[in-house]
Amino acid sequence: MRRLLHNVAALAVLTLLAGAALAWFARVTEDDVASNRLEAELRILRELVGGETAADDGSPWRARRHHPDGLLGDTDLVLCERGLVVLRGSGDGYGGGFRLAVALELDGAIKGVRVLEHAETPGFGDILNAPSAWLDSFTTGDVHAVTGATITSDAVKAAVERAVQRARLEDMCVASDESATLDFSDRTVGATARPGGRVVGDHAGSPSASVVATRMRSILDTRPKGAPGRDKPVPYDPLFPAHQRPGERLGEFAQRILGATAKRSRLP
Amino acid sequence: MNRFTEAAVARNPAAVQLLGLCPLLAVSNTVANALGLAVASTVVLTGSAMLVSAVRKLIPEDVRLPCFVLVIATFTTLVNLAMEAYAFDLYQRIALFVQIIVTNCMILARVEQVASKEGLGRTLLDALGTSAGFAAAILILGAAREALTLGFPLAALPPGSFLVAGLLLAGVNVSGLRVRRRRMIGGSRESQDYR
Repeated sequence: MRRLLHNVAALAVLTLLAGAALAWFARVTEDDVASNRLEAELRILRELVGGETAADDGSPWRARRHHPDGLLGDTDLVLCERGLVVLRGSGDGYGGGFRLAVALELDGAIKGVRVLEHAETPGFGDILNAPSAWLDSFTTGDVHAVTGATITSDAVKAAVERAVQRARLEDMCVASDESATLDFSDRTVGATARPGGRVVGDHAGSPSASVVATRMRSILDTRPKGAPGRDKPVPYDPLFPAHQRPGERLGEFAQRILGATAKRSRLP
Repeated sequence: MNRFTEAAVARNPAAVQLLGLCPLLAVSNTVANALGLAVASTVVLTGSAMLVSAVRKLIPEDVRLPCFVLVIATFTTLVNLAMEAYAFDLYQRIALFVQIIVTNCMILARVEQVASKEGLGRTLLDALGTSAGFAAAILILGAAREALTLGFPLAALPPGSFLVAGLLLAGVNVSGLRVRRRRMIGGSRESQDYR
């Protein structure tokens, strides 16, 4: 009995000391680890969009929104320069959760997919580490499950689909080859409509990005009130990209409708 | 210094005892990766061995193995955290193999055979010698593979690691076998003890 107690006491003390040491060191390295991870994600984002992103101003996910209905999962929508949309998605693979980023062209086509973090079995999970032919196959739309990694590839495919579907639902579909800045009399809301209708830019006033986007869409849409697609997102149609749809030119009505000063300029 | 060279050469963990081969084969694709893992292993082995040696009289005989594993796991996690914070590029490449240092029997063997029985000085020499032996093996393998990659791309891939390691071990064996045979003729079984 005495011996047992001695053993238990020794193990307990050692475990406590080990735990304390680890907790202390985890706290010491916490900030560096976090900034390293962020930097690694930004590097992947830059790779995806081929240049600087909105993330470079230090706020990596400028227009971060969360869908409470859970239908589309935990996806962050990121609007960035160069008219690309980058999304973050997540899902559960074979070895645990993973997070990924998807870059979309303005017509909704997938430009690239990168996995930010995963815990899949080494070897089988290598298809998730760029450069990976399997990840590149998302750009062709012809994605097959990988032998030996069926659960992994199915889960990633589903997560990409959720992210893309989400982006397409959020597509503002105000086709335009012009950008516009709106100054409302009561508050200043600067926003820029990009081709394909996505609204990017700073929103200094109180409205969230989504409010600004909705506002922009109704202002820029020249179709009569009540027309199909007016005031609500036009369903995504891969055969008929938003910027090719008729009747969706940047409107002249902004000033009259909301008393806003619309400054328009051609996109470079 | 005899103890150091004995641990590094005659009892070389990788080339003679064939311990710790998993990280040796997996991380030896470049010299930089190999160096990273060698440093991590050295810190874990030396730290664990010194700590165990310092408190060896307080550790009950019955639960010594759980205690050793706990100490080794703690050091491994500390090294892992340090790498993630201060050498992130390297961490991304070899993190998995740093984490499994905890299961490296090379380290548990040194802690059990030497650190739990001997004083700090001898333990330090033995741990450093073993680490140096492992570092030499993984660096030679890494350098050989990286050099061979120039004309023989397979060397950088997993099968290449088995091929190159096999050839290197064959070389060691040829020289080592002769020594052992001579000793056995002489009636000494000493060289077999560590097997």
